[in-house]
Amino acid sequence: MRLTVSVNSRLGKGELLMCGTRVVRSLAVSLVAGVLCSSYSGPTLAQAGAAPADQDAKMRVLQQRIDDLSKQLKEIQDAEAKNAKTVATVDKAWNTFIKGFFGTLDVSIDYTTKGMEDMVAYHLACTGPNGGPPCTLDLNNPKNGGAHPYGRVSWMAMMSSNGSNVGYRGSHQIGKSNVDFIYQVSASIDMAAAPGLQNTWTKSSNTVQGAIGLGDTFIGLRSKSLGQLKFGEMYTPYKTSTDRLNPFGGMLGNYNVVMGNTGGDNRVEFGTRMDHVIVYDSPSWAGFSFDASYGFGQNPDPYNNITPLGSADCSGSNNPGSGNLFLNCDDGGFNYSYGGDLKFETGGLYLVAAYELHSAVNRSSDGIGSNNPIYGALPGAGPGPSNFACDNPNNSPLLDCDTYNAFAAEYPQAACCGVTSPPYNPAYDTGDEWAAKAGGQYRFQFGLTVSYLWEEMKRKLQDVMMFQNERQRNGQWAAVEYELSGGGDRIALGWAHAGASTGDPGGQHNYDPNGVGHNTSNMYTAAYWHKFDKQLTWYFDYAVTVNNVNAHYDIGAGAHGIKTDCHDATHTPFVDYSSAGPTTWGGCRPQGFSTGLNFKF
Amino acid sequence: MAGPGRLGGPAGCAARGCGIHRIARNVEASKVLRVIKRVPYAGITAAVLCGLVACASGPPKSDAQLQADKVMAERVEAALGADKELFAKHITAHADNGVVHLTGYVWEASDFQEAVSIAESVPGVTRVVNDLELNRNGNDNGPVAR
Repeated sequence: MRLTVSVNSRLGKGELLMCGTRVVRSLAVSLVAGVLCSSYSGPTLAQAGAAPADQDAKMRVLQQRIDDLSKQLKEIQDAEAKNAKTVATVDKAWNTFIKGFFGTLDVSIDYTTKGMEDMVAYHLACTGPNGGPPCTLDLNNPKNGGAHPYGRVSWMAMMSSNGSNVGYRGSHQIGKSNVDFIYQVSASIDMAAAPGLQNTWTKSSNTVQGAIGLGDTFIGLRSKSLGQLKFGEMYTPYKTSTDRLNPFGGMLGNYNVVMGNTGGDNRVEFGTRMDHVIVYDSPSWAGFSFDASYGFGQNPDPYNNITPLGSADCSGSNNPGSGNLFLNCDDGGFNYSYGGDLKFETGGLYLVAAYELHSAVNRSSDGIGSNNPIYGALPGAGPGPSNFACDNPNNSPLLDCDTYNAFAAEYPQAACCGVTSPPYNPAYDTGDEWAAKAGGQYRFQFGLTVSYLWEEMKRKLQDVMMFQNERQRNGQWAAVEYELSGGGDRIALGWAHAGASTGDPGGQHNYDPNGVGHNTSNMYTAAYWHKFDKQLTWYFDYAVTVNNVNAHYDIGAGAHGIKTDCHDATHTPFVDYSSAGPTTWGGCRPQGFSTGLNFKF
Repeated sequence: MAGPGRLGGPAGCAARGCGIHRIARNVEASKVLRVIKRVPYAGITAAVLCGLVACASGPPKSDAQLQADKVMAERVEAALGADKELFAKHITAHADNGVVHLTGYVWEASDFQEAVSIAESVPGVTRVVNDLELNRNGNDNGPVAR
């Protein structure tokens, strides 16, 4: 009995809560000990000849104390259960909170070459009226004294951060309905260099690399039966619906080098993250589902030559002034966009078709050579009658006036006199662009996955400008992937083909008139992945892009951080609007190796 | 200033068929018209959002059914998490009378089929609806030079 009382007196209720099971066990032992003591003392008292009335009284007291102890024990057990429930609730909330964080960290070491170190550019020799076509390369008259591409354009080792990002996502049930409010914020992060703006002598981007929002960021509503509706900045269904057909996402030679890439450069026009866009994702019905998107143009300029309201850069992630041009959006600024996809999936089969339109895309900076009709016809300070820049090459010594004069003679309307920029004449290079694609994927039970995708991209232009329509072509993608070691390792091969575009991709220092339309390209990729565990993967990758004479596709477009492209290191200490930034060399053959680590969480 | 005799009040307007009142009426009418034109958009948007919430609220379930669905979802998530190859941290399972609905992120194309197969293998699961998404975040666009 004393033992029991002693325990109770030493431990308060709060302490007992803290001690938990241990205290309960102690009390139980005390209770049993008390009962045993009582049982033992009974016979002793009886043997001493105590009166039965005393024994009854003592038994009542004892029973009362047992009842008290039982009551205390019950209270402690209830408190402990409540405490455990609270702890479980807190744990669940904490786990839910932690689960909301997601991301990918990916850094690689690349060893790549632009594959153009031996190239030489030549002036044109034109025999047509007014010095226009037909033209050919004047092999006796090399440009710049026969100089090769400027700078380190051969093999180079680099470190690259590839598609690295961190984000947070979650949901919140609306009342007692089956609808959740959903949200996600995401940031693209650079694991290999300090974040900041991408302002150089050739462009002026205001997008902060590494800031929250440079990643799919949205709010929305989600229902199991009706799908989800998202509002914000995010990739559109045209991109997301076929991402799974591309096993090389974020790597050298991923399919965005060709697919969705209308200009054969570092930007993926039909795979870009859209500002101020609404996306609807339907639920899956018997394997069928569809998605749709609408992007608000928000551009007060009729030719979309300025940044949209609320955006830091031009539409489609076009940077103002890219290529040492005017600080405007004439390299792809557009107004509204819309698109969608239709998908079917059952077992290992996945079929998809998708479409997207960008309205009134301003491509005034496209053109043959380094000068399109607008830029080549910029009023200069020269003595010529038109006062154009090419009448006085000394005004901008890097202008490619041979090329400009050749096509100005062939297309006088496009290069007509008196054209200045801005403002822009709508008769020139502003028109809708759309893309459509269809493809599928099948995964065999033994670990082989095959994928194929066909794509058609169009640009609606007046005939007078079709000669420089480099945005219109088809493309194909095929990939095979095989899982080794039960899925722990993978190996994949990929092939992409860019069909011929109507106009030759612009900006080429070494444009070859003998190769008009010879702007196709083929890309080959091979990669191996080894999983250390579910989250950490090592990979090795090789890719090469074989460009035809007037094409300049790279091996880094898409989410790979460092783009190994067909631009040399030419730079000017001044902005002269001559497109004389990094000079583009058509027909280059970029290739490279890459090995890196990828961690997801 | 807008005296009926001078600028076309009701009487003058009636006589000449025009005037500031008529203009005012036209202005008001145009405002109303603009508002009316906007109503469908706002109305449709509101209707869609309200409809989304209302229509998605099905008949209430019993406590027992809710508990059973919860246990089922937890079993599926546990099975997904126990797989050696699948990174399932961001897969969420919801259960509804044996039908399991998968949402969230996976990182590899093969994960779609793997996740569905694993969920289907959980006892009591009659069907799996796959609404998973492939995580391809980061920044896809690089600098452009011409």
